[in-house]
Amino acid sequence: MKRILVLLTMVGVLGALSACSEPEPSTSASSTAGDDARGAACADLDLLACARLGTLADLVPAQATAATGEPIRLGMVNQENTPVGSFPELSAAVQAAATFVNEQLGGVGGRPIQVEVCNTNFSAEGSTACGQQFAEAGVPAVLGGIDIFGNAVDVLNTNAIPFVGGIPVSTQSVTAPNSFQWSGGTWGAAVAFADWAATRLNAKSVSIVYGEFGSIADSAGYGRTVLESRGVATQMVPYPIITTDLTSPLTAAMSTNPEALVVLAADTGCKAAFDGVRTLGITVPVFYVGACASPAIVSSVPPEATEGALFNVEGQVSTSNPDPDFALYAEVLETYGDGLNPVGASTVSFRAFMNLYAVLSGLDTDVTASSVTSALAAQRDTPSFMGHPYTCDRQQFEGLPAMCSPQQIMVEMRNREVVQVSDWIDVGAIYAASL
Amino acid sequence: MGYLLAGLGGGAVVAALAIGLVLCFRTSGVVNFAYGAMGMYLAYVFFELRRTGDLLLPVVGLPSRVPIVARPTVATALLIMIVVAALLGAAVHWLVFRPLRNAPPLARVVASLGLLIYLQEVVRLGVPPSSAATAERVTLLPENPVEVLSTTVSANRLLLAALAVTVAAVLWAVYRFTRFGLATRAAADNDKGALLAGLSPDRLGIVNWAVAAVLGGLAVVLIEPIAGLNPTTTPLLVVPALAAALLGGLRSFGLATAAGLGIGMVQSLILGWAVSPSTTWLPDWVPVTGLQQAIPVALVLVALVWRGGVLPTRSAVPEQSLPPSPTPQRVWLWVVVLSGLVLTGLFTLGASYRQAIIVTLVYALLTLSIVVISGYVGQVSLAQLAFAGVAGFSVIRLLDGGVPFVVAVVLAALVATVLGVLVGLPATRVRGMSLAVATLALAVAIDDLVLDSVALSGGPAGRPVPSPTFFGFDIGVTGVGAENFRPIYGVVVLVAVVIAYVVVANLRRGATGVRWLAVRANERAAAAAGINVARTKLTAFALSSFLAGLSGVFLALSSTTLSPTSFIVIGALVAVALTYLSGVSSLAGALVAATLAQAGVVTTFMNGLSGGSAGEYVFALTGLVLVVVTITAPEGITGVVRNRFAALAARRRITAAESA
Repeated sequence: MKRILVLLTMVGVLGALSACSEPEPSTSASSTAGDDARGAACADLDLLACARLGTLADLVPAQATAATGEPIRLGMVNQENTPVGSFPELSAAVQAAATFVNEQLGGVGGRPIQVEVCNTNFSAEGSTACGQQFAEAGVPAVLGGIDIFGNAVDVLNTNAIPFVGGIPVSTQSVTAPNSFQWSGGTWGAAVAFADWAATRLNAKSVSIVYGEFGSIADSAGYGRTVLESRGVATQMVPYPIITTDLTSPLTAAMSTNPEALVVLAADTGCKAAFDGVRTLGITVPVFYVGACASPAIVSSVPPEATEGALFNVEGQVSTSNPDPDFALYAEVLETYGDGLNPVGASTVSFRAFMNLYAVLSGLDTDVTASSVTSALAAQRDTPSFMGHPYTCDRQQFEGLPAMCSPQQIMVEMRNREVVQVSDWIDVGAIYAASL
Repeated sequence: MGYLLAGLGGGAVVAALAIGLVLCFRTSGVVNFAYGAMGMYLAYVFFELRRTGDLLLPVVGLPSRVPIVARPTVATALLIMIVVAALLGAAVHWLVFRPLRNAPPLARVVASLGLLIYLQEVVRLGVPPSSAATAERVTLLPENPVEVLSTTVSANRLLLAALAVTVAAVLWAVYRFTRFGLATRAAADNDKGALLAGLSPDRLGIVNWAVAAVLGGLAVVLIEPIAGLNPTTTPLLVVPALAAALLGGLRSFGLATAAGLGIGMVQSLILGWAVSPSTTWLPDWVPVTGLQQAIPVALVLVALVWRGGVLPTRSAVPEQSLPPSPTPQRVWLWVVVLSGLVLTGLFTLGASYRQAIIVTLVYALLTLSIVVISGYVGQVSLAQLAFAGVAGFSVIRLLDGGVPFVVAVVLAALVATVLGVLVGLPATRVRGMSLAVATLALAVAIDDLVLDSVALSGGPAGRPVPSPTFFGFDIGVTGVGAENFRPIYGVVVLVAVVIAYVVVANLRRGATGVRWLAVRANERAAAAAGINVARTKLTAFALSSFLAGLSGVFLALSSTTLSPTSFIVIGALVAVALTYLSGVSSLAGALVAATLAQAGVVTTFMNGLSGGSAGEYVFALTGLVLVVVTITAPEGITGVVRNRFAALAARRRITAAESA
């Protein structure tokens, strides 16, 4: 009967979505991302100097320049201030990024960017109303936050307004012709895990334990497709997404003696998964979504529960080659983010804003919905802020045409440290080859 | 064996809360939907004390927290929490449920819902979300793996299950053998008799509620490592606990505990069986997790229906009937006036207000269905939104299959009707709180097995909605830019609402209405007067579910993508609560409730006035208002207004008579 509550408890569900898409910018599970990244890449540099090291380099003026012209209005759809889960960090990160761009980078052609946030209030009607609000306001683009309903994307699509970034949790956000995403979502994670299990671990049988909810369940199917195409026997074990005791699904998953285990859980289910794996004495390699590598979760279980665990991330965490974008991200949040914690899903919305900002800055025509859509659709191998270079040709990930950069990186937990164990994995190509 | 032990943790969580539910019911006949929320708030009190030394206050408006002890030890924090729990339990009894002890079951359901929402908000406002996700927790029970019968299980599961059994045994002994326990049982059964015997039912109530709250707080603290803790999910653990408590007849601590542990283990076994590669005959459309969740529900239903009035009613506490149901008057005048208003709005206002009007019209069909079944016939149904969902997905299928618009609408609503009659069947055997729980259970089952089935509803992603046409004329809702929420669609829904309103008003004024009210007032008397009670109830369920179905149909068509998330059970509870708040026994109440819907006219106009900043305290106030209204004005907003007008008119008549 708990199931009813599931939907009501979007906290977990939505967490799951950040799960897939949250890069873990930290190389250490016990420290915050910002300190590490800054220490590594932008030590003692101011914001502009730090920005010059990364993706935005070409857009950084010689000195801090404030934007003064008529604002460019952008929309953002997010779920905030509701009893069923609230994600203000996503819009707060975007506002911090906008302030940085407006106060230091001179905005877009001298015009400041103004982001208006619309709250879906966790309802399909609210989501529709948000889409309608921005359609009537005639904004040139709308940023995504978290909206599991996706009706806003429908309305924006009718009005040919691009919907960019955010955490892709609705079907529309990954399929609609007007949507552009810079994350692989849980789909990317599942394909990367399946490929790793079949190719690197040579597993002949794999169990996928997954929370039965929208994108998570769908992505579990993607993982299965890849595994079965390689001749790997695959057992699917769904569980109600709000279940916090995973002993029973894990028992079921181990009943077929798999050689690897994939756990697609909401972040609220991570601790339960670690606990269950430890209690049942599971020794085969286990894959978890990136959000499970969050220091807060990892530090809540004994070290042996996470040792050797494999996770997906969407950014380089190599200590030998630190990403200056992460350093800039952490510094901008520190300067303009009003105490916002850099560890979390806000990386995804921050990345989307910066990528959109770069596209807007590159426009040589008026900023309109149609010019922004054309510009986004024309991007090929464009550097992405804190992510893999992106290509919005709608061919990057079969069945998920909105994804411009679904690529993933695998990391392993060793002595409570996240160690990068792969380069970028082209999940789109892997999935296409499995069909 | 592995599966049984794996299910022990989940079972212990259910059992721990079921014990408290039984205690609340035994004391004051209340099925306390807010029990999980009380435990959740208290657990936060404990964890926040440990984390910061601050006491989380349960009163919105006061500072949300006050520092009291710097870094208290576990024992100190636990002690403070126990004191807070006792005070909270006593306050809830004294302020909420004692005044409602004679109120109809619906009022108590609504009040406990209000309390649930309020406590959720107290925590949401008082505990910053980031710290809620990352707060360091104190583990009170060891979590190391232990070997039992060649299977490993976490020690805390075993200990928790053992604790639940022990507490149940102690409570059983206390209520069986001590003077306090016997007095409680006497007072619960017959409070006047208890008074005569020199016992104070109120004092006994306070003590029992305090004990229940303390147990709830401790339970949630202890189950935190297994069940997690957050303001949204934790309060809802009450639902499976309710199932266990019901299997124990809401009387027996032992049976409730056993049922709780059993539910966890059975779910584990079902999962193991359903996902096993050797289970091949399970149809693809059956969602495995749905099946796992639905089977305990089925058990509850079988138990409820088979045993009839399973919830004992208290002999000497007469329950008040529902608020008076005024006969609808000047129906056509109201139709003309309101339709005029709606049409003016549709053709003159901007798109966002047109959306609000359409949402309100759609919701009016749902609230009308609640007025029919709950207000007129007195049957608490918490499954109305599930009917709407089934009809909504049906109409998409029918339109996709080329069925003409009007036929598709009627057929889809009829699908809901069939389901409604099936759900209504238990109503011929059980009533009151039992029926509320039975319909809730059925709504959950419909959610789990039908609405969440990828094959039937597209799963959580939902289905794209086709734009309807009427004799080739586009009557769909979607338009470009400011043309969206086309007025023509609003007119279509308005026509449906007017027909429904007039039909219900006429039925209410005719012989059917008399039968409805007779059944509502006293089923035995109605039967004695020659009314076929079962048939009356089932017809009402049919009409009500048809209306709910219509609302689902028009909800689907007013959207671009229909998701099952629109029909989650909590939405049904909110709809019932809003209708009760507005006046559950009158047509006007249904209409007022509809304006209060999320994204309906009231919230949209208020957002427009406040510049989009819906107040931070809106949900907390909603919860509070629900509790206050159920206690002080059971006839709802429209009832209060009507009484005020009636009083004014009477005074005017008296003045006129005097001056004459």
